[in-house]
Amino acid sequence: MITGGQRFVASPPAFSQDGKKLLVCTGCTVSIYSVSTGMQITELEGGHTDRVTSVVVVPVGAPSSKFMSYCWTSSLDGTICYWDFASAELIKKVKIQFPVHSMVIPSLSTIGSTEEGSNLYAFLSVEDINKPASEKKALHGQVRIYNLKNQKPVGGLLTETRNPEILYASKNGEFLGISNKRKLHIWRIPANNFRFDEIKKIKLHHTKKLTCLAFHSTLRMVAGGDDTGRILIWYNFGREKFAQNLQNLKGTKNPSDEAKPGVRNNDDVDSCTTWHWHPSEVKFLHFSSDGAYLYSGGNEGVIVVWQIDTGKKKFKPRLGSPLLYFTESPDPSLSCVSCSDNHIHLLKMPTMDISKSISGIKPPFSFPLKHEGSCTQVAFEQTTGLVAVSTEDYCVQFYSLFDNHEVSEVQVCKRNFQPADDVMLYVALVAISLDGSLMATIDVTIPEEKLGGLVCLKYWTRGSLVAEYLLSTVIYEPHSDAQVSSLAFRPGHNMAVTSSYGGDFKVWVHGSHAGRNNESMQRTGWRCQSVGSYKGKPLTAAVFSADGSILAIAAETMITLWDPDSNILVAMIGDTLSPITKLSFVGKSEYLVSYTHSLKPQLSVWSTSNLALYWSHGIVTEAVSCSHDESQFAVLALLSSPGDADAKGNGVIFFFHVEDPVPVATWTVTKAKGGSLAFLPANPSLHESSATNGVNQLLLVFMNGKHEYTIFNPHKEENIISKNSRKSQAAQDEAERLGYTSIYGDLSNSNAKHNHFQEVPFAPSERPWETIFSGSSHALPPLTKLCTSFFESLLEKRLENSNEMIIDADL
Amino acid sequence: MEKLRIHWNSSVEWKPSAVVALATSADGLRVAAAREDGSVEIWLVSPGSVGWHCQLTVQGVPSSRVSSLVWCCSSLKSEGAGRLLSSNIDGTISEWDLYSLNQKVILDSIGVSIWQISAEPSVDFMHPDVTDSKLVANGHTSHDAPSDCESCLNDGDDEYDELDHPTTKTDGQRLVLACDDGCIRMYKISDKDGFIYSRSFPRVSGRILSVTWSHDAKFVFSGSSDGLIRCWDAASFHEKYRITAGLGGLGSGPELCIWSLLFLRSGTLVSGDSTGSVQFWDGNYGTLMQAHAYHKGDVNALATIPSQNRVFSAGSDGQVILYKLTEEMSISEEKGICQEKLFKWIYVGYIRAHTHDVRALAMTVPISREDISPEEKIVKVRRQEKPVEFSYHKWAHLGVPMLISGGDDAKLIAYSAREFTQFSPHDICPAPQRPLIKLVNDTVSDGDSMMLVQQSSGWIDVLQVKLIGKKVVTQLLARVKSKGSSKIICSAISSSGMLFAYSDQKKPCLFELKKAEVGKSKWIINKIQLPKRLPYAHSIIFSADSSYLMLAGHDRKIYVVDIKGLELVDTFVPQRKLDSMNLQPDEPPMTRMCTSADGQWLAAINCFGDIYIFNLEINRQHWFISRMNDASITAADFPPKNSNVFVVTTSSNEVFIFDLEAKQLGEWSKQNTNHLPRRFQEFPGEIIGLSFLPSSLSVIIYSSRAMCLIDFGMPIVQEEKVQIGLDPSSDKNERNKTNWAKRKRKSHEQKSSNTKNFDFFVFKDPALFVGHLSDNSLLLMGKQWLDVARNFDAPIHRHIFGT
Repeated sequence: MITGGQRFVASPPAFSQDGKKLLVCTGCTVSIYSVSTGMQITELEGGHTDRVTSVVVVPVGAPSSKFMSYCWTSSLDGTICYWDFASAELIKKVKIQFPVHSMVIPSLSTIGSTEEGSNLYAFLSVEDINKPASEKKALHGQVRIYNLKNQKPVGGLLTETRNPEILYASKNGEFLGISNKRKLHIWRIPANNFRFDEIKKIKLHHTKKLTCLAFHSTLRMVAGGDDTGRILIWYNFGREKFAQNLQNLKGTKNPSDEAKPGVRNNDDVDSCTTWHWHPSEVKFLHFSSDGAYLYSGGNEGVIVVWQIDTGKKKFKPRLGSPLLYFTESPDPSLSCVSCSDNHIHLLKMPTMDISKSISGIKPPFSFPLKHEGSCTQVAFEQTTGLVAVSTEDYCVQFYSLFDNHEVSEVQVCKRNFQPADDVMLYVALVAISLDGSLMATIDVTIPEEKLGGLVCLKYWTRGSLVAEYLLSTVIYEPHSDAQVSSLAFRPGHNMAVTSSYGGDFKVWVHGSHAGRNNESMQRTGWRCQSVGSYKGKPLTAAVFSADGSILAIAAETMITLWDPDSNILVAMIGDTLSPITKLSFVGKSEYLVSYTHSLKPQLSVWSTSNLALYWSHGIVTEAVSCSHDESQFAVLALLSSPGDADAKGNGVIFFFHVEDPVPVATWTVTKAKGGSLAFLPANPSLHESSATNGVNQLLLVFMNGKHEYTIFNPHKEENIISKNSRKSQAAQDEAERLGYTSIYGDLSNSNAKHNHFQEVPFAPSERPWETIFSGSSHALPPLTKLCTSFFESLLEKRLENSNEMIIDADL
Repeated sequence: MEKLRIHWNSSVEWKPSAVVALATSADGLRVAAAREDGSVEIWLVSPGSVGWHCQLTVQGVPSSRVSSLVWCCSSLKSEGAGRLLSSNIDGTISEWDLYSLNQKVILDSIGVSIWQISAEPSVDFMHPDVTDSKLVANGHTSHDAPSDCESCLNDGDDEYDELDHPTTKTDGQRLVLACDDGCIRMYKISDKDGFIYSRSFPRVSGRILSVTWSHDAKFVFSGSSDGLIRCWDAASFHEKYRITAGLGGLGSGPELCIWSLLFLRSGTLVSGDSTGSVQFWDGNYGTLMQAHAYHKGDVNALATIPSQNRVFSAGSDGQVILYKLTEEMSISEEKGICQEKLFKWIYVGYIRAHTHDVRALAMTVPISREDISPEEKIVKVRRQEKPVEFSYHKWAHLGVPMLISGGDDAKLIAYSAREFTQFSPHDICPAPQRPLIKLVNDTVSDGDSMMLVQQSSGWIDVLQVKLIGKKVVTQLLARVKSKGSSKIICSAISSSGMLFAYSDQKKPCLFELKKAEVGKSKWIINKIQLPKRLPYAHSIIFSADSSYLMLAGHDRKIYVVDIKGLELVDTFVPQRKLDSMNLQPDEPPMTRMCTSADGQWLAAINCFGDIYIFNLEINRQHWFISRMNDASITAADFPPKNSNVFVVTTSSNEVFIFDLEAKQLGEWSKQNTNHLPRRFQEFPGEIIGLSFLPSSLSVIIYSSRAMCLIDFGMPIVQEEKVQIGLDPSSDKNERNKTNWAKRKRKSHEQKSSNTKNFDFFVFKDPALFVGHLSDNSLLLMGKQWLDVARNFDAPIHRHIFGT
């Protein structure tokens, strides 16, 4: 069983102490990525059974322990684990009993991990599960202290909040804070000789709900962000309350007789400054390590860099998605920002250029309500094991299911994405032909006050790389202004069909007849071959049979069968109770599966040979997938009726043989709403068992409504798909760069490469030197420049080959 | 009582002009505001949002634009206010004589524009008892009132070193002028010799735009249009150092203008420039300490509080920004104990109360002679509805520094300097330069009402007011412009409506309005020649039967002119003591006059609130009423039915009724003046007029924000709590007004039922005039502020996110 598609951005990531690895919470595990390559190195698994909520990397205490790589992780399952993340080993596990939502270990930063004798105190934000969830006003969140050394809780509760809040600690570990509704709570933790009763607390008040906070690295300064986008900076908090000795306090002038500008409720601060740039909630605040800048970000996807002294702003715009967290690495030239589209961007620091991105599968987005019925977000490319996900920023993301990383992204609409509340443009349908060579998309622009609405059908052909698609044809308003209900490719042909709620369907062919040799784009486009309709009824679904000989179109409750070439209505099949949502041929058999969504849900199997209903079930079907060769299909059914608003979304996958209305196998799943199913051929290179069986086993992939997926073998009970395939993708960690190379990069080692060049068989498809060196000598660039480009063309080829070699060797 | 119908009319033109300079007087009681049209207003500073009163308006020459104002201390007259000087763009220096209410040019044009004038900070050791006559403010940069000991008490760390005071200059206070030709000129002002040229500093490139003194008067700092700040030795006239103000040493081309400089006692020099940055420099060496760039336009003005640990800046983006000196506390205390303390100027917050550019700031420390006890701390209770009862004294403690800003939107706004971010600012001038309106009913022209409108910009209109159905229609009958567009000071219309008069800065004029027998126009205006020797007047009024014209001349005499015979009938010299035979007029000028309906009484009121009553039958002064509780008179009139009664309202929001025959306070006043409802004492806005109901003992008292009915026949119900409902439809544009407006807003369309005494009625838009047309109909002249603001030049463009 392979799982994947986890959210990388559910919790803030953490850098390893040398700044070369990034520890990302991915579901129940922690994935470790290389900063230099952006690829996954290893994964910490087996420790937690629920979502990991925070990672705390143990800092390096002394130079001798430079190679130590330990971290603490907390999870919702109520445990805290201690890992050696270099070797991915679980060292210690501490049980807490409560789901831990956030953990900080302030004393780590002061004492270092080498002092074995001292105690480690973890501050935990836990959820009190003893209080019933129905009590809305109950204080479910608690801040507790836990001694990790002897695994015992220390003292009582620090505070109780309505919901568990995120804990923030200052860099030196002296201060700890949470935002609680319209207040900030700040505690001062004595650095040495920790005692519970020495913890002092102040509150800072505001008039809006505070969402995040950050402590200045060197000064007594705390910044808070609220849900209206304001940033408040409190100066010199706790001058009275946190004063260490009274003499010190008396030495200073008593500040209380001076008015405190901007300060509410006579809080224990000197003054408070308000900055306002963000139009909506501030998601993160972060002081730079030198304390000169403050980073802030929020929904609009722009990192704002505030120069604290002058209030000047710099911006890093066009990150394309609401921002969630900002993490600075120990290396001052590197930091990362987590975006809500499941991407973690590694930023080169002063310039904030994105050096690498760790991209997870993009999360689902909500379609506008009235268009919801006719949209599918997910299409599977079955030969290569990719899934195509239409995303909120008008792209189609290709995601490798077996490798759990993004392969490519195709921008469907050339428009800059702006995170906003109302969707004006979305990619409604994505279809990929069986062999993966063609893709079709439908994007819909919603009319603004009945003006400017547009439906656009785009055909794409695959480029040279995997999942690289090039736009070949754009068809505006394929069905005038009617909504397109489905889109399907004809297996084995360059033909596609679109059906619309407007009552007609169109068969599209690739205009290859018009001179293939002539490479002009105008000649080789897609065009409409034929148009058909059935009694003017809205056509709700369309599909080709597996061999491509029959086109089945659902005209609301009727299924009509057409000859796609001659566009002749061949037959009609029966009546369902309500309009058909989806049609599918079961493999190469004569059967057809349909399901309806409306108030009377029904899953039906039709026989095309005798034009009759074969069998049916009254289950709420969310998705259906048929294998292409065998007469089996899988159905994802919801356990609640479609009208049920507060359904939990649990569902069941039924695995049917078409002849038998009794399922062959069933699996229960969660978050089935909006999920999808597909059969994938087990990639022989990745999947050894199928090769040994000699049968090309099909695997079933289930992707839930949150785009998390599971790949499993529907025929076998046990887990036979190992994860070793992924290890092969782990890129080699680069050797540490020092001195010259860290600045200028590697010197080209011409000798070594020359040796390789001899060994690797190399057949240039084109001969670049012929074109490079041709031309009159005064127009030619200097020879040194030409040579490098010439050599580069050679080196590239060789590099690809060498990569393949390495993979083979690993296997 | 029957219902009162209110007729709203907005047909008057109203074009207030921008405030260009502000300065606080030496005693901190007054703020002078110069407007773009050449007039200067003297505002009485009040410790709260109640009691602000425009005490005087001096009309100047409209052609000479004031660039900055300064109050110089006058050593001879130990009056607190000092002498008010202004520098003008045309290169002259004028003195504004607040005693004779005129503008005197004391320095003829030096040929180049003067951008700023700054007076030497000085302490008069010769008169150590006169603590109030220390230095004062200077034009744009308007320092606060002197840092005398009272104000120091409030601000912990005042290390004002007495030794730092400059030695006394017996030959007068020094003034430096920032001139357009790159020269700083130094003058000395003294009461003996007047205004004497001392010498010029070496001429430098660029224009000198701003100038200020160091606190010990040893150095002069100047900022110029080429982005340089220079420090000059005030004794040797040598340049000590210069600062390139462009950020990072860049961009200091001819485009960078240093608009404002401010020197703090701590030795810090603050500059505000045209790039919108406010920079803090070490005054000794000229090194940059900090730079803030929060303004999106030019920084026009800077100000500081008496303890000088806060600085305010105001700019053309309409913002007033507070910076505060804050100690930098290290996060861990253990290491930082023995460290030297680091102080930094931090940005705290801004208030954008002006819709247009802010031009000037002034800091005042009002010390009221009224004994208002400091407001007790009110614990805020959060509840569904905010309490209607609202304290206007919230930040109005005595001796609390207040910041005043004025700008292109003609408004003056007061802020609490100490609790700047906590309290919303107060618009002390909701109807700046409102047209003065007089209404006469039952005129000879078909019995319609007639209205006289005096525009601040130099003409008067006569309008006919007709009531057609429920609507009030005005029709322009005549428009008279003053000669040479000089300013009109006062005007009057006779009760018949057929005569009107005005006085500009040269002489009074009388006109007659006649119905035309022939011709296209229905009305003819005849000018009636007044006796030659009449001086120009500060106030002018017709007697009730229109047979006499009375003028309060600028020579402080009151002239009575017989209109039929066109001869001077009598001349009064107002006197404090009735029996003194001193005929030399030495009382302050009369700015307001009223006459009773039976023609017996004439009341003349001077700008300080003293009332002089004359009996016109025996042509003698009848009574002198000294100012009431030291407050100015804001409105006064005789009721139409009872000529023996005189009603006045004061700037401390009190009402007095005088029984003239008996020379004493009236019965009602004796009983009730000390028990006026709190709501009335906190009257929103300055009271600007009275209107008596023609047939009853009630009066409507109004400000430009609200009006209130007082029935003198009814008892005052103490602590009546009249809930005035919130108007849900109150439009958003009005929100930025002060709080009370939101709380006590009623639609002006609503018919108020006058059942209770002191019933308030709040206007949605600023009102200019309220007058009775008849017993049950009230004319309310007003104008939406948005319509007024449309006439102003557009403020600088502000980008709004998402547009």
